[in-house]
Amino acid sequence: MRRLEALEAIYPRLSDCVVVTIMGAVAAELQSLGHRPGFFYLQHAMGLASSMGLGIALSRPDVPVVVLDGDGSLLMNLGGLTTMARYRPPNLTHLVFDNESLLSVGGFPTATSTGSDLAGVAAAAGIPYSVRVHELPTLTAEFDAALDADELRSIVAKTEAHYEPPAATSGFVTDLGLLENRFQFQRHLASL
Amino acid sequence: MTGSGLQASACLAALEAAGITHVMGIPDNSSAPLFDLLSEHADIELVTVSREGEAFAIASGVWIGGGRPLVVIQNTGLLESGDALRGTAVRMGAPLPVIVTGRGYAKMERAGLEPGVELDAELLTRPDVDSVALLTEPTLAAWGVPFARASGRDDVGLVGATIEQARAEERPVALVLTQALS
Repeated sequence: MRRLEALEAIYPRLSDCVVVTIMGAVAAELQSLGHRPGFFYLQHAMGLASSMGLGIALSRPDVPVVVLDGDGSLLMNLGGLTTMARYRPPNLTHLVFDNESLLSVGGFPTATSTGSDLAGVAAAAGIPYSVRVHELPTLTAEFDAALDADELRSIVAKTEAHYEPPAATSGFVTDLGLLENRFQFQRHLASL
Repeated sequence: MTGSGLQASACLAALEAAGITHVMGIPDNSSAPLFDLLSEHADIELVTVSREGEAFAIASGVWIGGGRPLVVIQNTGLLESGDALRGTAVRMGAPLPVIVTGRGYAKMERAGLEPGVELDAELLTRPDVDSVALLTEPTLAAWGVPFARASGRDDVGLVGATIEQARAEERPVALVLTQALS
């Protein structure tokens, strides 16, 4: 499964949510599918999209929040899983694309390439429900179930280490400035 | 640190008056009295993190969601948090007040040193000095984070002033406590 295919598959359901992405290719691919005011692309602070999503979920318990994470990022903030599990907002869904590499900087392998199991780590951290998926139909089913569940869930989607910069973006970055994105996202949240 | 610093109850009253909704951080010996009060508070949600850098990202999320957050961490954790602070609250222009408890300030005072003293390898390795106190204020200055220093009970007004400054300037502003909360 390619990450872009996975994003295309879940994209329709994201209209009901606010979304926080990590920096890099995930953000660029999501934006290439069509930006929405409820998308926030964290352009710095690698590893902390899940923490920011936690903060949004805690302050807006009425809004479904989706975090789009990556293996390299999550490995930088494993302690964040314990904090998410501790406060476990039921409106938060954590989707991790695990391509076993730091693809945006040359494809250097991460620890998941040698067996580190992020779904297992999430479960051991206390996330109420975590699952590892390999196929697109399973991912969409788990993602739909997570959005419908009144429970914090973590989904680790194993994806190919493949990236073609979308034509509408500049390589691994979005073309939306962080402050502009922030104003837009904040106004969108306030309108919900 | 001694117990002659700000009173935790007065500090909490300042947070209540400023409408703080969420406090993120990790307690230490100095801030423990405030965390004790916050853990039982009906209206302020306490989020205890596992590593200090998380606190800045969570706080930024709380703020963008409409809350009014505050971070409380030790200066050791502040040094750990550099890129988290830079990459979230600073870049986003989040009005984020930060209370930093100052490990090592008493040692620094006993050694006759002032914050801002010129640093060198000899000073940073002296056994009678805790280097984190030497590094705290220069680091905040280098990161472009305004700060004030609170020493005793009479400085409680600085809590509200720090919050007001963060909101007025839409950026993180720190209050460094040189003595433990009582």
